Amino acid sequence: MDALLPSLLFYAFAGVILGSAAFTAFARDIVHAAFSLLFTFFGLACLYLYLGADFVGLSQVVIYVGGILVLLLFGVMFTGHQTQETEKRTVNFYWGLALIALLGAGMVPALLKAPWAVKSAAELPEAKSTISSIATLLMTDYLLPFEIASLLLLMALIGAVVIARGETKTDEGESPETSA
Amino acid sequence: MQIQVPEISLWQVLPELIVLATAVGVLASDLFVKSVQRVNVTLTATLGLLIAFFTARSLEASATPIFAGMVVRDSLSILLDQIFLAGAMLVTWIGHEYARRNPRQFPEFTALVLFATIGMMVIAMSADLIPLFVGIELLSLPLFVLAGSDKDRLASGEASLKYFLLGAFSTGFLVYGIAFIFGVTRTTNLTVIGQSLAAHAEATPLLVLGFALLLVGLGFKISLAPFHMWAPDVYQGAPTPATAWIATGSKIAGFVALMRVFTLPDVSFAALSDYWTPGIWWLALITMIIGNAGALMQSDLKRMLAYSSIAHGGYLAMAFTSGTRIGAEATLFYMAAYLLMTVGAFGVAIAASRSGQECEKIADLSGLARQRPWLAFAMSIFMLSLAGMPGTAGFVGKLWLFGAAVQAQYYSLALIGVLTTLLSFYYYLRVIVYMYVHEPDDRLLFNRYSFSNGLALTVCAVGLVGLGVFPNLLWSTIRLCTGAV
Repeated sequence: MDALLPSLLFYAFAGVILGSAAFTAFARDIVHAAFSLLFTFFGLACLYLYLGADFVGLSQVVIYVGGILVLLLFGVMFTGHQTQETEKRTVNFYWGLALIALLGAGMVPALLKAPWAVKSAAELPEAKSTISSIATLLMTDYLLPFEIASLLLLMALIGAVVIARGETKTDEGESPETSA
Repeated sequence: MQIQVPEISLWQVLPELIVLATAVGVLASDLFVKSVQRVNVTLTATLGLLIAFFTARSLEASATPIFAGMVVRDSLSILLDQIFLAGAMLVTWIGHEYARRNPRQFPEFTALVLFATIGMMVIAMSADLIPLFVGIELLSLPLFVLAGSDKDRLASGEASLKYFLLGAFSTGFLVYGIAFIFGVTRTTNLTVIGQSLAAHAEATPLLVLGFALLLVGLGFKISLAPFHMWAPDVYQGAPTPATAWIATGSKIAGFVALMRVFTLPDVSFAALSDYWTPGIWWLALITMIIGNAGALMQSDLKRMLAYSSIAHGGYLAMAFTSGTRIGAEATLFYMAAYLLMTVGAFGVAIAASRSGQECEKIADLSGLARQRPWLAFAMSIFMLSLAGMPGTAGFVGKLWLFGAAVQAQYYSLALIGVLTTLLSFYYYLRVIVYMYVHEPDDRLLFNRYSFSNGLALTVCAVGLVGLGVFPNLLWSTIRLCTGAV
């Protein structure tokens, strides 16, 4: 009976994720879809926590729920939300279906046949926070990719300014103030 | 807890750091200098890239991975760094000309080109899937912005959005593939993946799926058919210097990523070549046919170059399929040649403008030879080289590409390659016919082009003819990289 509760929890999370993701995909109204995405993200965060990945789970909440989803909703609201315009249309339905069937036919058997390294509960390491080991790895083995990722963020910031800035600068020697 | 900090060998990544400093310097100059002139930006970037170029040249190659096995400074990465830096320099020069015609945020433009260059250099030295992935992102993100940086034209925004959405989509495939590979081999280190596959080379479905997804993700980046759909629209809509860098730097970097993952340095999926080789074989075949057939029908110069670039991706993939050392060497040589001829062709598209209107249709080049003979001559060299005329680097490169395919006994692939090449003469020569035979519209004169663009075109043209006559200048270096000498 010990295994019942964890697996029940797992199926509950999985159900929430799949159900809300399906709703996101099929909802006609983009705001409904965005709200439904909220449950997908939370469900995923729960799943990560359930698997013992506390840092990833919390980042999921902070970044996706707190950041990306709110941004998405703001984006919808600021661009003038009218039901007619944001209603979705289905295009290329049969092509999409065929592609998904193809992907599914490749992926499902591959996942089922995969030689997963299954460990019994006794073999698992003691449950503890992963934060310190992630931090250590980021500062040692993964130092270079970590720094490149920060470069990526810097670049994204510059790129966002370039895209968002309104007027184009005239050519030679204009003072930078006007373009701020 | 005692934390063991691995050795930080900053000297080994000095070229990347110099490019970064140049990019930041170009941006910061806007803050601290009263009036930033375009020429100063270009000079700063050129200087930085030159210093980085010679620093890269002076680096000592070593096959030992650095930064805890994340990157490797082998002779391949040093050579590729030089190719990317030279390419960035040419793109900055033609961008200088473009900015003169279309006043816009030039410091940002240059800085973004430099950031993308760093991404390419990171890909070139990756020895692990994680820096490879971060490098691909660092390469893609600036290009999305560059594609949309011409805000006066709607097409530019469309190009940016299309490129961004499909790029993000392909990144999904890439990460998915990396995750599966990690799931099977429990490592992201390419050398370790290679060793573990060589030790027990059985293709579990999960592993096959993993590298199939990886191939799809990278296929989008290098616009192999059937993942090429974005290319014509993006190439046409993006500002021309950005197009030049998307068509060359990004495509070359994608192939470098393929090389790093699938063949070099004698690791990774070599043990499973029975599985991935047919995949790339088919992609190469379809790409060559679709690219050339598409180019035949275009009347727009940039769209024609886009399809031609797809076709050249197919030729490169053909040599890559062979999986042999000569295939890798031919791919590297052709990359350098392809860079010169494509940047050159886009440079001419910028230079051959009339009253500020950039040349769009191929017919807009009518009579270029009469008014700007040097431009027309340079364009002829680029077109002949793209087609593969003897005496140009394009010919030598294609010869080796086909040679590699034949050596690996991919006869049908080589045959399709030769046939499509013959087909391609039609649309390349058509450009030359327009320039030399058709009468110019005398009411509209071609604009004068600036020194920087002339310099870029001259470098490209001289480089192509030089490499076409003395291919050993580059070939000997490439053979050093692949360990043939």
